[in-house]
Amino acid sequence: MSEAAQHSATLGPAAAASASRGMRPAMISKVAGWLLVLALLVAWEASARLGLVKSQSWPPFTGVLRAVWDGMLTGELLGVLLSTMLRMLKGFLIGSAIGVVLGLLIATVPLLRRFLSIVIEAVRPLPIPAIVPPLILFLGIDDGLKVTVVALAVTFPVLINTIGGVDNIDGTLLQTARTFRKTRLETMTSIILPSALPTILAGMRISLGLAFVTTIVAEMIAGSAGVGYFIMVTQYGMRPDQMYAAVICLAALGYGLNWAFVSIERRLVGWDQRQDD
Amino acid sequence: MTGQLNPAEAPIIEVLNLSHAFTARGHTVPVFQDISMSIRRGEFLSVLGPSGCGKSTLLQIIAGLLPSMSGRVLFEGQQVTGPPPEMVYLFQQYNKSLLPWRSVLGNVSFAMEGKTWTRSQRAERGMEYLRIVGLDDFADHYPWQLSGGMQQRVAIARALAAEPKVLLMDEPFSAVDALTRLELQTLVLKIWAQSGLTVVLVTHDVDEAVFMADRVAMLSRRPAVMDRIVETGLPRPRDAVVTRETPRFLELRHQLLDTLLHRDPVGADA
Ligand SMILES: Nc1ncnc2c1ncn2[C@@H]1O[C@H](COP(=O)(O)OP(=O)(O)OP(=O)(O)O)[C@@H](O)[C@H]1O
Ligand SMILES: [Mg+2]
Repeated sequence: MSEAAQHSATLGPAAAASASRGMRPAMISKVAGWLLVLALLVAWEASARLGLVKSQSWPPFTGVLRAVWDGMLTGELLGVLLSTMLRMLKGFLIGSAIGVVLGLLIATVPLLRRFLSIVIEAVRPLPIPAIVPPLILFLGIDDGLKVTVVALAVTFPVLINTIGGVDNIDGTLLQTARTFRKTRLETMTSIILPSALPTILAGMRISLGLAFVTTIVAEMIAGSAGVGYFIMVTQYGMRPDQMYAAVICLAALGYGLNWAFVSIERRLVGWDQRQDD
Repeated sequence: MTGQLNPAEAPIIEVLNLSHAFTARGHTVPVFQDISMSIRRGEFLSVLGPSGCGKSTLLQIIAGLLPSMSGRVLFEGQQVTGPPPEMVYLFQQYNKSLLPWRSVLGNVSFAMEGKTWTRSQRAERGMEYLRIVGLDDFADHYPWQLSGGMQQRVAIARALAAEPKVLLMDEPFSAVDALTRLELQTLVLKIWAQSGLTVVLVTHDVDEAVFMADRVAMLSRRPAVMDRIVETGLPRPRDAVVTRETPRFLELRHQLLDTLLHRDPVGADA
């Protein structure tokens, strides 16, 4: 037991010390980063107000902020954002589920791997926006199309990472499952899935960004609703402040989504020491 | 305890004419040939041999983790074709054998899942096994928060939780410091004495093999054959210090080390 006490005693202070040492430079660069953002916004405001950029489609930043505010109050912008989010999340969840399930199957069934790997390698490099127009022929321009396109874009990174995650599982863990006589299903849920989870989530994080971009692009190409469509409409309708309002909201949304995902990821795979750096 | 064992009783494990070879870069390299031995119910058997002679391979075949190429293993009279119930293998790399996303208690529970225990029964019994290895205060810790010796104790508690009749240990103490190693040896002997387990311990450490075992089975260099099986005849309970000073211990140690070091290595130039 003395061995144990000694161990935990050395662990605490060492960890605390390294944390406080890492703190300062990180804080400084963070503050500097925000200052840069602020400076750019001031430059934007000044360029429009002082007439440095003479264009009807270059509203000042404060004007755009007002458009955001109004858009939220009237519900027009808010509704558009929500519908885009919903579409994106649907596609993201469906694509992720397909990617994980298919990935687990391919990684654990050798026959399936040989059979499907050629198809996957052939389809994977396709730029997703390129398949939107042909897909419209089959699915029209409704939600079905956009969700499908997003799901397709999401599937591949998740699929590839799931396969990689399973391939990298240490053989000793699988042998451990065998000596404790776990069934295939038990091994899948209690060993394979948790082992591969950090890699799967990393794939999903990449896919989340892709889903976001793909949703907007699909809405622009096959416009009927959503922020993508809204941006096109406000552009044609010469309502630049509303257009920029949508763009700014998208930036904030993208940031928020990534932040939310990373927090969930930390919570789920905090045990994985590779995450610590 | 050794005295009460009846060698005439049916052995719990029989190893019959096992041979094994690995194929690497087109060459077939024999690892060991024609290994036979009977393992008595309740005994503590050490398998001793130089590094690379195939001890892990042999133990994995006994455990049903690796198919035998030639020869058979019988467990309680039944031929072993896969991991049998009531036989647990303790891996040489214990740090890779623990589930890093599970707490210490969660790791011990792993051995009991899929059986009839309820969740709370598993937790309760898990704590009992952790108490046996002296880790009940660390139930909520994660494996990476523990020292190597403590991790190995978690692996031992987990193996016990499966309620095996046979424990197969592959160099369980080779990765811990010398003092921890002595403590773990004593712990395992205590568990063995109280549980009625049959233990097969693989090691390349002569001192450890003799100190722990009722019998030592010694393999030669690769391609290995069974060199001899000796009864240690050392009294129990064993003491980490005193037992190692007895004439019998020194005699065995001398004999086995001498053989390991000085016998003409068969095919060692391969
Ligand atoms: N999967 C494998 N493919 C090819 N050769 C292997 C494989 N596994 C083991 N070997 C070889 O077989 C021999 C025996 O290996 P094994 O791990 O059983 O030895 P060991 O006695 O346990 O050694 P150590 O004391 O170092 O653990 C070694 O020479 C090793 O190189
Ligand atoms: Mg070995």
